[in-house]
Amino acid sequence: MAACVAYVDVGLVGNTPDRVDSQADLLEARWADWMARAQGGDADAYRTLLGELQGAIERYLRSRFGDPDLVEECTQESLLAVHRARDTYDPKRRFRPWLFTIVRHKAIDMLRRRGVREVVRADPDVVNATADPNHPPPTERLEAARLLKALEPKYRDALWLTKIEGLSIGEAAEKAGITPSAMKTRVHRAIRAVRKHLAGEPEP
Amino acid sequence: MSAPHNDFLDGLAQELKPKPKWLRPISVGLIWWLASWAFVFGAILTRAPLRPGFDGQLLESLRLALEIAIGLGLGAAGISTALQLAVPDPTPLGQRLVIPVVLLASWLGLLAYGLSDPALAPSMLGKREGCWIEALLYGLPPLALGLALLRRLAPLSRAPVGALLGLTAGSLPGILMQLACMYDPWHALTHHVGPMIPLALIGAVLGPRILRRI
Repeated sequence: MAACVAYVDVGLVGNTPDRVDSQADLLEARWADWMARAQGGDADAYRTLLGELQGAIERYLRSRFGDPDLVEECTQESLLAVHRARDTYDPKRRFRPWLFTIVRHKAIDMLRRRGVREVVRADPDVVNATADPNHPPPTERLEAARLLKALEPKYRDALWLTKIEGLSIGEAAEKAGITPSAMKTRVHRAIRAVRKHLAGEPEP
Repeated sequence: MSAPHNDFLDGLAQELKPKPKWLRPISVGLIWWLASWAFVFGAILTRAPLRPGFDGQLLESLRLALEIAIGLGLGAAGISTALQLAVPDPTPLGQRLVIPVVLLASWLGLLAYGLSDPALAPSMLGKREGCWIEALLYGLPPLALGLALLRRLAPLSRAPVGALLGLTAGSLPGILMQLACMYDPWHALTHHVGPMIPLALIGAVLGPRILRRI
């Protein structure tokens, strides 16, 4: 256990990129070591690992979603998923790709389940934008949402109409001047694009 | 190593059990491979023997041997890919599926090519009545075993993994039927390889229901 204690006080704030890289490597090694011990039944190492992961996952999600309730719920679900998948981690491989694949998967799950509306509303930039007395049009407000920035305008509008304004597919289609099946396709593609964008991000 | 009190995390840590020694992808793959082949081989031989002279035909026709080898490779690649997909990893699903898809395409391609230029002279020798039902039924236990084993792991894309398992499970009786039943490329495609399609569909439907949602 002494080896573990030696890693514990490595911080990641206020360092040069090279130093951050080596510290990130240390962090990775520490997590991998604790998970390997946990797989052998060491509950103490496992509990410490979960505590550290909680912080790391929270930071990752907060930078993307903002809203504390969403972040808390998704962090808990991610930790539960890590717990369920713990036996699949191979200590010979890197820990972070394994961890953040799970976290992204849970974030995408949440996106599907709760809808984009809450995610967008949770973004502080969007909240500020919507408070603007000039009340900019939906597309401009959506520009502020990090997760939706990558979308083509027609997909952003499809998400806005259905998930934020809460229109039915038929109503949204009528408003956009397209058929309901085309609107359904746009919403589906928009969600898929958001998911792809999230999945394509490097590990923090 | 002491961590601040947190009921949720404390609860998870209390549930911790050591990882079973056999629960490594290579062991799970071997268990599936050996048990499934033992079952399929036993079931086919229990009903009727392999086609008379199949061994000589294998030595005679390089293409038949290649068809069998690719079919065997598909089974191995299929279970290996399903196991890889049962471990969280950022590699895109499409990239993971390249090898089984290439092997499946090669296998089907060889059989399709045989329609115009058969590897062996088509013959009714060894014909088994209802071979397609056999191929379908004998694929079900390997599919069930695969789902039961992968339930212990953490597949994130459960429907594609279920479909891949179904396809892989169906390839086992499909290959063996090539040696147990009559040889005719059209018959092979429709009656031996064809049942892989319903098995893949069954796998796609059962996957999200049986495989664990992490």
